Amino acid sequence: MNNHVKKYRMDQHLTQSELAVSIGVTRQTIGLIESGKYNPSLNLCIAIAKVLNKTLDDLFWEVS
Amino acid sequence: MEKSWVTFLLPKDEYKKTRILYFIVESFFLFIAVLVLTVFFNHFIGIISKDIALVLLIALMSVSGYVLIRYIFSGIEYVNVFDKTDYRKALKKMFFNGFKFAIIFVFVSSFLKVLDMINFDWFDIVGVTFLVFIVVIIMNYISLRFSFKKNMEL
Repeated sequence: MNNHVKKYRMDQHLTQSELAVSIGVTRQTIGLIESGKYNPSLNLCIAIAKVLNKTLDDLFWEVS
Repeated sequence: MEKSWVTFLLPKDEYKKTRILYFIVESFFLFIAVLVLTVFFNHFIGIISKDIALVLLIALMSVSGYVLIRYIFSGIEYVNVFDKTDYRKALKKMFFNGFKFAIIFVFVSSFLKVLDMINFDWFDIVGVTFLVFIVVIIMNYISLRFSFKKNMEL
């Protein structure tokens, strides 16, 4: 699933590791989510959205 | 997933946890396949002793039985049974499928007997079919009860 996680993470000047630590996953998981190779659970989506201060729509809705 | 006793063995990271669960399920199916093939070929070739074959058969029954029992009591089979009407429909269908299964079972057993692949008496075939029919009905009934209870709580 394509998404805007990388874009908004970089806007917030966060590294993959920092985002990973703040939501309790590994850096690899963040990398896989950003590259669209792993579809996170809703709980994880919400956790990411909260840290990046964005809505789920901003991050995940219909990214071509 | 959180209600499983195996949770404490899994990593906290979601991706890792998902992958490991897949690996465990894959290994489970491989394990089942190896057991089935060993028991099957041993029937014809007799490469291992009867005692070991029995142990393998028990292992096979244990692992597949565990999954079946967990499935039955989890209430996830009858996902569309939400009221009494659905329940009665499912009950009727359950008995119909039970009879269908029994007929197929008799047919296959008779076929194997005619081909001399099994040496059961006709009386044994009828007895085993009746037993299997009862077990299938009981398993489905429990599954239906638990599914209905679970759906009612939603």
